[in-house]
This record gives sequence, C-alpha cells and structure tokens, in this order.
Amino acid sequence: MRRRIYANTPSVRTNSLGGEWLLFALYFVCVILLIFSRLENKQIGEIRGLLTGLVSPVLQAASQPGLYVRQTKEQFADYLVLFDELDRLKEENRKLLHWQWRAKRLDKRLVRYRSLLKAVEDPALEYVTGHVIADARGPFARSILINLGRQRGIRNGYAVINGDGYVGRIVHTGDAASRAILLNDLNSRIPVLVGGAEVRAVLIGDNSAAPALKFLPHSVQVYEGDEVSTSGHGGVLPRGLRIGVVVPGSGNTYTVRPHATLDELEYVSVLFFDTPVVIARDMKLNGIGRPRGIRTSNDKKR
Amino acid sequence: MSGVGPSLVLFLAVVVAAVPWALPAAAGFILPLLLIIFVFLLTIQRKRVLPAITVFAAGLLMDVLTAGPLGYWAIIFLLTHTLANTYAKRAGEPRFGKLWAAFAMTALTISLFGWILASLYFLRLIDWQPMLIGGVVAIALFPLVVWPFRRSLGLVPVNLFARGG
Repeated sequence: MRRRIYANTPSVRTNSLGGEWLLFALYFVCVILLIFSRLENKQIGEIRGLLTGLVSPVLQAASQPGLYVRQTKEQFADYLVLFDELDRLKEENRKLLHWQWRAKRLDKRLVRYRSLLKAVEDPALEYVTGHVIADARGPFARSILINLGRQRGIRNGYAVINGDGYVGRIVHTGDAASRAILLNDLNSRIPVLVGGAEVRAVLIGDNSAAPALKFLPHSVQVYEGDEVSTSGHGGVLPRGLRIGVVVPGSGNTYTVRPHATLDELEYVSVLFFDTPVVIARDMKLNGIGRPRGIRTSNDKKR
Repeated sequence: MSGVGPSLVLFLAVVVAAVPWALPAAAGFILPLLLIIFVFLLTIQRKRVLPAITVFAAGLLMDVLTAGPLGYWAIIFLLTHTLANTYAKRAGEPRFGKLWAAFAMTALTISLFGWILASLYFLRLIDWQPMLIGGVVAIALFPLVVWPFRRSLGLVPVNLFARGG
C-alpha cells in the first residue's frame, strides 16, 4: 500500500530552559499588569494612552474597509425596502411640516416670554465630528476610539452624540485620538430626567444593551415609552441630550433602550461643553489647556 | 527559523479585530476569540517560529485597543500558545481531525479561563454567554482559517499522485 509522505514531517520540539523561564516571566508580568489595572494605577493609564496614540493612525487606515462594508450593507438593506421606505418618509414629511408650523409659533411665544422674564439664553454648543476607528470588545468596557484628539480641542468629559442622541463621554484624550465610554459601560453614571414630569433618576451602565434606571423617587411612576434625557445636574453634561426610552426590566426595575445603535457607531460628534467641572478635571489629568470661553450661536463654528 | 512572518500576521489580525465591524454586543467576543485560532496555528506550524514575546505583545496590543485591563488578552494568548505547543510536542502524523479536536479543547478551555479571569477581576460572576458564543464560533470557523495554512501545517500529502509503492 502506498504510504503518503506529508510535507514538513513533524519533528520533536525541544524544550529550552531559557524559553520556559521566559514564558513563566511573561505570565508573571501579565498577572502584575492585571493587578495594577485593577488598582487603577495612573502609570497603567498613561502607558495605555501612549500605546493608543501610537496605534491610532494604523487603526484609522484599517477602519476604512470596515466603513465601506457597513455602508454597502446599509445601501443594500435600504434598496430592499425602497418603496416602503418612500411611503413612510412621505407620511413622516407631512407630519413634520405640521410640526414645523407649530414649532415656529411656539418659538415666537418663547422669545416673547424670555424678553418678559429677562431670561439668560442658553449658549449654543460647538462640536466637531469624527469617526469611530476602534470599539472595545470584551467583558470590561463598552467604549469607542474616535479619530479626534487634543489637536482638535477635545477634553476629557466632553459629551459624544450622534444623530440619534447621546452616545457616551470622553474619558481619555491623546493627541490624535480619544476614547469615549458608551452610556451602557459599567463605569457610566448619568443623571437623567424621565418622561414629561421630568422625574430625576440616574442611568447606570452594566455592559448590557439596556442600562438600568436607578434612584427613582419612590412615589413617582414612570411608564414604558417615557423619553429619557440628560438632566445636566453635576455640570458634567449639557441638559436635554436625548438618550432613549424606558422599557420594563426584570422585577420592578426599569431600563432604557438607547436611541443610538451603540454597536454600529460610525460618525459621532463631540460637544465642546466647558463647565468648571470639566475644565478642572481635564487640567488635573493633563496639566494643559486653559479654560475655553463658551461661544454663542453668533460666533463662527470650527 | 524566522519569526517575523508569523509575528506580522498576528499583529495585523489584532488590528483587524479591533476595528468596528458593526457586530452586535452579544457577538462581541467573536473577533478576539478568532484571534486564538491564529495564535494556535502560528504556534504549531513548523517552518517559522512564533516567539512567546510576540504573543505577549499582541495580547497587550489587544488589551490597549479594547480598553480592557492590561494583561487580560496577553495572558489568554499566552495560554493558547502554551496549549498549542503542548499539542505540537505530542502530535504524531498531522491529521486534520486531530488538529480540529485539539483546537476545540483549547478554545473551550480558553473561553472558560477567560470567563473565570474576568469574573475574578470584577469580583462577581459575569455573563458567560458571549464567551461561549465566541468559543463555539471560533471552533466552527477553524477549518476556514486552516485552509491557507494547510501546507505549512503538514496537512497536504506531497506524493499523492506518485507511482510505485
């Protein structure tokens, strides 16, 4: 019977004492790094930031094919439902035109009331838009890496939004890239307002798709479908950013289904919302920058 | 034996796994666990060596890109490398079935170890399903990844059509 000869007939791998010691040393280093990470050591954060900055140009280039694939997928999906989508958009446009008329009337009334009350106008927020070049996968974080950094004026604490609503918050800035934790990240805590009654609560991320709504007042009832938005309390985030809608959770708990599709983020905008809290925190972490004045809508955008 | 080729392949795979592919959150572990296929295959293939220090560095890069604690994916990749080396030392004639079974055991071990390590890190039991899904998908996709490496793994017989006995 013919015997098959395989390419690269196996050879016995020799044990090298040096190699085994190296492997043991690497395991040891991994354990030490894990412990220091758990203790939230500052040097670990700096090392991470440095490495992220070094790799971000490569990530930006590597993310282009993924962006093209997603756009192609979305175009294909849109093409399949083209006619139904057209009918839906016509109906929506009709309703929105009615709301436009109502909004203009309400706006005029608001201007009149402001002048009567001599109220101070809220400043318009400047923003800059970038795209997501990496997103965190694993049990530890729900975060994204954006191709905007200190060179574009990004600071820690700035809110990140997209067309659907609030997405997350900047937690680390490099020169050319920044990392933002998503609103469903384990470390995310957002003071919110719920429903038409503007009930105060806190949205707490738990790495799941629908973060939990906690610290609701006992006497207050919230309902499925209530809109959730940022309250602005604590001075970290601007007030009124859309987050999602209330959905019932297990037991008597409530969760929030975000408007933004957090798994499919492409382009996001970072809001330049400078408050004393954001400025003090960012200056403490980075030791750079000076307070930026809050500009009104009359100033030029970046 | 040069380790540059396998090292570059592994680092490229890490970068590709980190970019956003619009996968749902439940499938968030699939791409990182697909990387253990690369670590496994590049370790056992015979022509070029994948050094342990490269495996460690690739895992560290994955930790940085995924915003996880430094050392998590590094230790998982090193464990994969160790298990692959153990298989390579004991493997006789290379056969695909045996290789796939060995990888399946490795993937399940890695998934379990990853879940335990993450639970220890958080000091509570985390959701095990994403890790299991990632491990199962890695096992299922293993044949597709093996196909380009079949020659260097010794899975292709060279004298299939030779005359005589």
